[in-house]
Amino acid sequence: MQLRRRELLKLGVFGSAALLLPAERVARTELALKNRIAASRLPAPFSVPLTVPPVLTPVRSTADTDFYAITQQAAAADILPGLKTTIWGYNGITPGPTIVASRGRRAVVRHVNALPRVHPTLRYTVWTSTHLHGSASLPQFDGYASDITNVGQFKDYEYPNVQEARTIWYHDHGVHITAPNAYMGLAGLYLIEDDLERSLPIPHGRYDVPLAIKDALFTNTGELIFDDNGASGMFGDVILVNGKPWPAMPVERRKYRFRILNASISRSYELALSTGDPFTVIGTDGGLMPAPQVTPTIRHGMAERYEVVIDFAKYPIGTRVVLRNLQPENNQEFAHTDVIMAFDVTSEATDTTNNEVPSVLNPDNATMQLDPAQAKAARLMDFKRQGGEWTVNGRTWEDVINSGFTLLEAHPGLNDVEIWTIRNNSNGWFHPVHIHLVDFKILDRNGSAPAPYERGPKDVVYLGEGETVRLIMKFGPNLGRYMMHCHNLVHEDHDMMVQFEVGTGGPDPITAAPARNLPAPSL
Amino acid sequence: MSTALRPTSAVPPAARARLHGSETRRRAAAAAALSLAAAWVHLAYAAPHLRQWWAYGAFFLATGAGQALFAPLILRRPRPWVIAAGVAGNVAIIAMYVVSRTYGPPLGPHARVPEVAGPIDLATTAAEVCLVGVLLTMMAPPARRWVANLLVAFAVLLWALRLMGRLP
Repeated sequence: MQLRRRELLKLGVFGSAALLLPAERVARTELALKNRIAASRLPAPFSVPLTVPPVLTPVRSTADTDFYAITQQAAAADILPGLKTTIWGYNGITPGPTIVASRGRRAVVRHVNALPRVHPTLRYTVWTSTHLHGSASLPQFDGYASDITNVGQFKDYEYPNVQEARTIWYHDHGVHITAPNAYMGLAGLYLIEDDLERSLPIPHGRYDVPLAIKDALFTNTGELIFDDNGASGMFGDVILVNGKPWPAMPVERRKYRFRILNASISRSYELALSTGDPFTVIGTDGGLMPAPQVTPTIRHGMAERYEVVIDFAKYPIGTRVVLRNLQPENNQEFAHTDVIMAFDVTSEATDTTNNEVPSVLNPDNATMQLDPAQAKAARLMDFKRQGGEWTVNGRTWEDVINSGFTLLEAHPGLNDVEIWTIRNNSNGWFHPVHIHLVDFKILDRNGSAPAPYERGPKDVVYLGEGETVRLIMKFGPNLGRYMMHCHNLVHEDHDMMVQFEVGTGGPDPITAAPARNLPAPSL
Repeated sequence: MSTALRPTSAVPPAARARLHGSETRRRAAAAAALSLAAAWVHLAYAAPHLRQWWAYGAFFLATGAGQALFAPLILRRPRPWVIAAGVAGNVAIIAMYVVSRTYGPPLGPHARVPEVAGPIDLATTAAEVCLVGVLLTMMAPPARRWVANLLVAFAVLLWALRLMGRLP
């Protein structure tokens, strides 16, 4: 007996729900990619002025603590001229406001999740977890991926600020949705200052400029397109610096300090100046280096920070110095991804104080004094693609969840020194590896000394194609469980993340200080 | 207007029964083939899902085994209860698929994170929808009407939830 027409129609309605609803999200991404804005409609490089994110003011301060309030919210941003872009920003801007902390003063940052309940195109249920990248925070305030804050909740993060001066940043770390959350704009800078750094005659104030670099794809209406290329990586055709496409910055004929953060989801850069002149690197992820290093290029992986000094005094007024990207392998290249921004020399120096680079910066940095002879253990961490998944030693964050968060990749004692060998046998991809809680020193890469610009305290190491890197680190100052993962956030979401525990009896990262429902009490 | 077969009085009852029997066998064979195709995909993907979480893997194994066993059952015993079980089972599998690709799996390490639909899983679901359609043709008219109404009600509910924003 065949189906009647009416029954066929009903079966068709059923089939449409079964097939079109699941396919809708994919179709939306494909349509967005088809509607990608034409290169001819993008602003010409260096036609937009650079802006710097505002510094956040505390809502209240006590003798030893500053209290800050941040709302994670959607907003319409002016990124491409003439178009509005829906972003998710800390206080509605991206990059978020910069927090400037003094070493020794605690900070409490309240994060309220007021984002939409569902992502506008990917349609996932939204939650967040805020990681202060580079801070030795307690486990419950470290942005542990599964310690989530749902929409309509808030969490007060406590930061000790006991570490030396450094450029760190806060960004989303929500389990399995970090890449699209951060891509929507959930990232901001956090600077810790201390007396040593203030006392050095390096550029300060308006000559100390943060540069957060990120790449993005846009539709012809200005909306962001997230395409992770089958969980391999998200690559955009527009390079943004502090949220502006290929900006230009007027500079005086003197030295500037730039705190460069690679805030991209998956793109690494090889920085170089169009003049061929070198950078003077004075700081890495963990703050000032023992001594400055001069280098013509910097291979800059996601989440790494390099503080560089560029001396514009040698260039005549009217010179344009372009910050170029020599495009490391295994990144997608587009028409203008080979340039990042420009510096236009427009005037003589109006202030020549703090215009030096001393030959010694921070010789007593404890991490840089670690010696392999101190190591109590050596471990191998193998970053590889296995069975269609991104894994560390063959394990993933799924395995950690399935273990009830008990699965550990390492279990050092408090203040133990260990050497970890991080290995990437593949030639098809690179992994910037981030170890939470600690700073480390790079001992060697493929048996050779690390690059000059890496000779400072680090918390992310660029693990290039076919590379093996040895790191030495001291585990502390906190007890508890912390993550280690690839900072290609697409890899992290597809589960190249594991954890280690320092000592025993540390606070539980999920249950010790969970997010609470709004309304929040006053700070 | 109906597209149903309309046996005429000119066809003798015995010939009509033979005609009906061969028609049922053809449909049972089609249902078995579709079920085996879907089973093959579920069993082939059981291992990676088992690696994600034992329950995901168990779901794929149970689904694949059920669909594989259904094939000989529908061929040898195309009884009403077998047909009804085939419809119910496959509709449940399709429902779980829609949920996993829109809201995300309700449990496990990927809870609430929607998976991306791909060509293989869409093709498998299309096979299951066709399987439900073939099984419908093997049902007696009153049951068939009832099941078709349930299917459309289910689909309308899903679309309504989507349009209201309750289903991401």
